[in-house]
Amino acid sequence: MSEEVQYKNYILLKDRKYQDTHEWIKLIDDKKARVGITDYAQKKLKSIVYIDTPEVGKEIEKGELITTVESIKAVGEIISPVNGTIVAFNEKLEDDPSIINSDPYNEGWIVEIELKNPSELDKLLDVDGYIEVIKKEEGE
Amino acid sequence: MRKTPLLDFHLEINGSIGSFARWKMPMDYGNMLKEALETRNNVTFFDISHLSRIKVKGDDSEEFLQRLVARDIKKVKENFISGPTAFLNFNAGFKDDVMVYKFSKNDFLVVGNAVNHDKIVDWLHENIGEYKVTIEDLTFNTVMLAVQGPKSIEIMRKVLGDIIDSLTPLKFHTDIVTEHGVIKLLSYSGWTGETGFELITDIETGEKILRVLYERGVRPAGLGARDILRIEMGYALYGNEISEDINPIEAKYWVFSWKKKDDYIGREALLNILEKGVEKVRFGFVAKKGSALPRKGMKVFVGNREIGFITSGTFSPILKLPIALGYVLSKYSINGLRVNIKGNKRIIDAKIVEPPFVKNL
Repeated sequence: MSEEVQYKNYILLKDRKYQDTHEWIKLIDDKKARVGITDYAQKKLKSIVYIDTPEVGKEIEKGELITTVESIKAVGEIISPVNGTIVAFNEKLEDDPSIINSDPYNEGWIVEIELKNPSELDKLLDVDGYIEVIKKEEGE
Repeated sequence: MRKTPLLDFHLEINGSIGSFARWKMPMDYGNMLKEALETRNNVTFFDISHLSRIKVKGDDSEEFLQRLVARDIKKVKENFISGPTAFLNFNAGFKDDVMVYKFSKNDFLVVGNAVNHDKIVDWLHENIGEYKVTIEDLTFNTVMLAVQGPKSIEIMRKVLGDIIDSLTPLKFHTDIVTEHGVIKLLSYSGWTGETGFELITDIETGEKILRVLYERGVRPAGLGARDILRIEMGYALYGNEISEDINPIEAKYWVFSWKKKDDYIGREALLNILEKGVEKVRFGFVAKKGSALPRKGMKVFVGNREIGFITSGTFSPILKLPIALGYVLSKYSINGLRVNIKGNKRIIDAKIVEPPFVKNL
């Protein structure tokens, strides 16, 4: 298990990077990374009941929409933190998108992206940087 | 901002607080889908203190309310709730949908929507005229709780005793002395489609009763679950399905007594509408399994023709399907008709159905 950090009742993991639109990204080999939404994001959305199936094989740019998730309360957009190609979608989510609520950082991963340039990850937020984002959104 | 007097208790049991109709209150306790299921399968408690609670007392109370609401209040027995009724405007639109509790001919309680509280207090005062009545607002110095679900009788009997067994649907008792304090009002009623009870107490007693229920394993449910449950039953919510511009006929919301002889505000307009017919009718929609959620404001189409709109949408955890309420043009009000619900860059396949979506009473 990777090291956990808690801010208020939101869990963050030290083994990955974050984007200010509440996605996490974690390398799984030299070029491939998994992307999902943070514990903060799933707690804000609440019960997730739907996810749009993203197009596997699609080239995607940093800042582009990967897919959307829907809870009863709201619609959430998942924005790509990097440039690359979507190479896999977590199909388990089609049957049960609530996995994103119960395990946002592991079983609840959303897509795998083959990165154009793995060094892009260096520019993303670490745990402390992302805590600042949460603080701002919580009005602190 | 108004807030439930039990806010600290909700925080203590991990309630997630949000705002609704200017009230700070619990939206959920971590998982509104589970809370809705727990209500259907077992029992939960809700804090519904945001509902307006207004007493109407005095010699002319019955005549006064008979003039203001659409149901025949004279036919309601003492110690019974009227069933759903409404204050209508002169066009027969809804000012508020309410329940009228009859203590006696000169003593009533009106329970209505939080969003209409101030408007209805004003409306009552505006209409007093020569009527000998006094209006007393209990909303802010009492709490209102609901205990709902198939196991509610069993747990309430344990907490409050045999008095539970003397209640039947819409019946209520008043001023019940218990070891937890005095319950001002205990009724067999609710808004979930399940067997259940509603209580009005002072703040301290209310908190004690919730603590006793919680310690006995009854889980809390928030406004999110309450909304899912009422949509599953097809109940109209003020501000979504009904408003000043919607009448009871098109809403198919039977808040009036067909045979009521006494005149009431909105009656003439209502009778005219009945004769003339309505252009749109309220219906339910079931979306295809695995669809996105239909949401308020989305449009309903058959082919390229727009035939209606959505007023509430949710995901039913018991059916595992997205469901919605809305209106369709009368000539398309056909049970089973396949439609597309469009909005938010989505097209959702659905069909028109007659609620309730969940039939278990």
